[in-house]
Amino acid sequence: MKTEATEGTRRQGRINSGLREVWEGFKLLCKIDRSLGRNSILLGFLDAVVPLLAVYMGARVIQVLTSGGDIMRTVFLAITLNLMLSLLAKWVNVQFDYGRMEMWRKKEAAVSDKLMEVDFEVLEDPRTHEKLTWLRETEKFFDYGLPAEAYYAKSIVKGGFTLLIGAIMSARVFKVPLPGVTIPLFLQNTVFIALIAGINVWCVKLAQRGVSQLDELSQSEARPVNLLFSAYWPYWGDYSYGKDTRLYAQKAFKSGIAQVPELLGNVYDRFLGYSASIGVKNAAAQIATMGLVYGFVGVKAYYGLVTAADIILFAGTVTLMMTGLTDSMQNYSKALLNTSYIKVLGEFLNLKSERYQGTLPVEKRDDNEYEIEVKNVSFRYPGSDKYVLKDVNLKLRVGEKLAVVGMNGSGKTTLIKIITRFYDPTEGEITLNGIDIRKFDYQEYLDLFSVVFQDFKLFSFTIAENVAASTTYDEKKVEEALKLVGFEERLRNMPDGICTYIYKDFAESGVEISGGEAQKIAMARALYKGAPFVILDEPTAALDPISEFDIYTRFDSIVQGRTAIYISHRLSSCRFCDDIVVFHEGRVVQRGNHDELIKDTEGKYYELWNAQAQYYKEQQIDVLL
Amino acid sequence: MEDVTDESRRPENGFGEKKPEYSLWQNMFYLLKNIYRTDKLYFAFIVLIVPVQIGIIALEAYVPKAVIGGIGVAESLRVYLLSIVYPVLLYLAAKCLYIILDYKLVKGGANQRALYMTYGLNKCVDMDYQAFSSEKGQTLVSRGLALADEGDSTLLVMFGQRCSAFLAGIGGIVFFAGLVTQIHLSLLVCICVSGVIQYYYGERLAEFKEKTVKETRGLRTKMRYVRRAKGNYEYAKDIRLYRIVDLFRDTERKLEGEWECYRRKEKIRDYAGFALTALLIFFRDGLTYFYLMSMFLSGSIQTADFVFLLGITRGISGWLMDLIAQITAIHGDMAPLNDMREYLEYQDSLKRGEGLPVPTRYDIEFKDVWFKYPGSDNCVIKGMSFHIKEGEKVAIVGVNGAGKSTIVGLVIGLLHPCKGEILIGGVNAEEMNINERYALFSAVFQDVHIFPDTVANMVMGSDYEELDLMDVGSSGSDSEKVQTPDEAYRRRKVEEALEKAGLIEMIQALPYGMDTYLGKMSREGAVDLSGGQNQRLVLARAIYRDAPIAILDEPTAALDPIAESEIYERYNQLVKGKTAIFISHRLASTRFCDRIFFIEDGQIMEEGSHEALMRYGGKYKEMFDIQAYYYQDDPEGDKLSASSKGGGESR
Repeated sequence: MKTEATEGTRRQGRINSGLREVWEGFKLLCKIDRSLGRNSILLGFLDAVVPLLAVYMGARVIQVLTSGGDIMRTVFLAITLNLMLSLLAKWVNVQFDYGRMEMWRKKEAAVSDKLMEVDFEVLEDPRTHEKLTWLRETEKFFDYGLPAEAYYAKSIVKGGFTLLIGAIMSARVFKVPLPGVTIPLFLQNTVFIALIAGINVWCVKLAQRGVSQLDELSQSEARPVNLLFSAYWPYWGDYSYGKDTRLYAQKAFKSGIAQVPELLGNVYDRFLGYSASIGVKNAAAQIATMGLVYGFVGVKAYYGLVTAADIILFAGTVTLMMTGLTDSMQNYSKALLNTSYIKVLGEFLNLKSERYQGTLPVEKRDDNEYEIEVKNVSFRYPGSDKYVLKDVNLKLRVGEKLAVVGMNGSGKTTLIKIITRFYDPTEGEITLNGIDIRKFDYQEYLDLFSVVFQDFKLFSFTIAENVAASTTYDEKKVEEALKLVGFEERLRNMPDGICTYIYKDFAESGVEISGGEAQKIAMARALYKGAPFVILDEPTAALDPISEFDIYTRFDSIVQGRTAIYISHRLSSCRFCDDIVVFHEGRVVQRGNHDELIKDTEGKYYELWNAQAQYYKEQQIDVLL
Repeated sequence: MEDVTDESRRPENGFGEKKPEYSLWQNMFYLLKNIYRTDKLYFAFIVLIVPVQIGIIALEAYVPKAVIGGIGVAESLRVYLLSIVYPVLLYLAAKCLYIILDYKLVKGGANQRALYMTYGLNKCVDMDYQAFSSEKGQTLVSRGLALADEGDSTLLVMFGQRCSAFLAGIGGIVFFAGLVTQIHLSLLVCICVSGVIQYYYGERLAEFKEKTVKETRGLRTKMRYVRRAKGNYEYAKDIRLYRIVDLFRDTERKLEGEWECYRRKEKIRDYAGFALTALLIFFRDGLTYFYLMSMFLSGSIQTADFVFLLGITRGISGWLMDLIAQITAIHGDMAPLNDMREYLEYQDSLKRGEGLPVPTRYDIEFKDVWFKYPGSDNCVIKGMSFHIKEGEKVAIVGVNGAGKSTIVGLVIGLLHPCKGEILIGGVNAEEMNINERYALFSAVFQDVHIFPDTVANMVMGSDYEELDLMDVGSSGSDSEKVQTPDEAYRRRKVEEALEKAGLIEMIQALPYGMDTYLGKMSREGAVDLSGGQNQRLVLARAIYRDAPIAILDEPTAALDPIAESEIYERYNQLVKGKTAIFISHRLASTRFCDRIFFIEDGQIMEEGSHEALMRYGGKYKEMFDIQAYYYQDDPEGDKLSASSKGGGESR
């Protein structure tokens, strides 16, 4: 007895928390698009009223026909009311449909807005990536996502109103007892309602079980196939993969291709088969109800206790109530499943950024007397126990040119990420003019740096917008920056000068540029920013020797007496730096200028240098001879 | 796609021909023909469901008539109730039959879609690379695949249902037209006229939407670009550092404003369509009521007939609306269907299954070869002639954009000369069976792409027949299977290749060894390797293939010096005893080549051994000196002449 009671309360609790979760989803929907939220409620109401009104007016006409009344007026009222309400409902419906169509885009905009401001740590965390991929993958099933949430809200509201109004409309038939039956009226009605309710409960159960089973099917079987399919997709459509598929995997891909649609087909087939079996049962239940209803009301009509109009009214209303209920319960179950999606999305959109806690303004100095010091810094990526940097001490002296060299994975790029506060050190601290950099306003602090990252990106906007990183810019300054990096000549060939779009993703008139040219524009962007620190991370890796040399020779004019850090594994480029730091396995192992470092034949620098120089040196001897 | 006449494009490329514009009826016939050819049962269901649909509508109108009509007429309650039960049971049977048939239709449609998808994807990996990789080819492919790739509601899946709804509409109207004319002929006229009005409006609306789709293509591309760029992880650092956030937001806001404008126009037209329908229903109902009432009042019909005739009239006009909606929907899908047919019917001139026998010696000869990319006016290769002897190792050097990779594409058969001849082992390569030609090469390309498959399968490439996609998520089950001797042999070969590529220890440390899946995103338990490891993996693939000609295209740009010099050693493993072509702009790497071609402006400017070219003192030496400059013990010395510096800038 007691356990039953707790079972009961637990059930109650589950329904409550279920409703609350669905409500949360609806709130998130409203947060992204308030009008869609409003329209889904309004449409739910109208969708309940319009068919009920049609049934009611139809019955009225029959009633007037059989028992007299102003027939013209009734008919006119029936069709006019129907017209008015349909016009209204359709208007809301169109808004609702378009709102749902646009929802995806609005959600993507909200997500990408968030991605632009979250902490870098969050951004690089594979879990973030996984979550977002999960969201995108999940949306592919139509039962998930915000547009689906709007639909569920509408359906639940519609079901509620249909039941409420329908109950009032159908009350009349219950007031007359079945003739020739001795059971009291109350009991008659109870038995009838219990029968209908029984069928309905069965339908709802069926629908809910169907929803959860279909979901399980989609999660366990459709999702992996979809994931795999997306992973293969570029191999079919993307031409840069085309060489690989043609030369190496044609046969394999053909057999793979043959399988993927088949696999998708199998999953699809099971979905459909399952839906169809539910459909048949539902139809049976609905028609059984129909039989019961017609029987119940027909017998009363046969004996003249109710009119033909009552039959029309009662049958129509009960059918609407039944489909309304099954529908809304089914959609409620779907909405419950959708809460898993809503939660992930909601959590992501509500992420707080820690980077922006600092408030101290950065002092503006015309003399660029900024000094950055790295003190005993150790670092490991979140979730990893391997140190990428260990006990690094480094002082950046004003106006100095510092080269950082080392093998791939020795921690060079990580150092830059720490200095620009994309990550905070695990141990130790970094100071700007003696103050911990975490105390500064982050955006102002970032304004101190002009960085050209190894994997720098330009955007498919105009050259000027790229250089200025803004829609508004100083033309002269843009041109000057481009001139300094040696882009002047190429600029003359650009159809619209600095207003030429680059790449074709954004504007069809866009101009394709080579890697070397992109490099130059990226440097111009760094120059335009004019920050006191200039950091160049592997800027010449993808360049041919002549462009590479060109960049080297411009290095001085690019840096212009600012503090500069130059990261490279191509040691030839270090020759023009006053100070070279050698990284190995996260530590600073050597420091000095080229001539000093090369003397230490046991050192890492010597090893790195010779690995490259050997090719050139022995040849050189040949030539010199 | 507009028709561009370009005299140098090979006519077989097909893009020059006019795009097929099939009519609605041609396309319906095409789809139905394919259904009949591939799935006769599906075809039968499309026809079978039609009478069931008509029956359901009739019963829906008939049941209330029976209920009302029996009152005061039936001789006993039992007779009365039976007169209700029979039609209800019939209705139940029809409805269940309908659901089952409808399911069969969707399933058949899904199968058709899968079939077109298979055709389409097969074409992707098979079609001529030159055409495939061109701008027009890419548009052709992406548009051609779009129809089969979309969600559930596409033409291909729904086609059967739409056809049957269309047929049921016609059938229903013919079947019940007599009943309606019984009420009044003008009612039938009214229904048909509203049908025509709706059809006309639907067509206009579809046209408008199609026009909008075309007009907004650029806008949508822009919006998509901004959306993706904002969320792109790779852009994140630059976005933060240069405060590009505002640039994106400003741009996006502007684009969204424009987009909203288009949407509003569409929305209003959509609504107007609905309003028109509601008005037509208003008139139809008014007219129906008017005639039915006068019949009722004159005593020619009873209440039950009133209800029945009202139901049938509404049913017919409902069908007509449905029928029109189906035609409009099919019509709306014609453009993507034409795109798909254009793609599937595209023919290239590659030799498959025929062609000259593959040679047994492997020298490569270019005879006055000219090449330009489709759609471009500039020749990338201009009358190039050379001969690479069997077993010779040649390096191709030059600045970016000089045409180095193009030469490799031409040799392999990914690209085709517009003039001149390429001979491999004395045989005209263009006349060879394309797949046998591909098999002649062990190539490592500049871009490293990793297949979402096991390490072993990735290395084996084309050598393995079955791709075990069913095995989603359970890596490593292969090792439990009994291995055929052939399989065991192949696995040993994979191991050897991994070892030669210097990757074996790393792979063996993976949870399932070489049966570990690659591509973290593709399935659970899969792993991603580092950039350097991936580079070695593609090298292992080339070593495994052990083809007579080795090709290495600029493979070391992202490696540190020690890794770079190590991988050069590994390359020796690959090229040993083979004809080899090596592309790099790290000139030092050309050391182990017998001959060097210095390419500039689509021509071979200098050719010879490294020593010879250095002695010759031309462009190659200039480039080498520039690169060696900082490696010299005394870089301030005068080895770098002023002229070479000037040469660098003029480019």
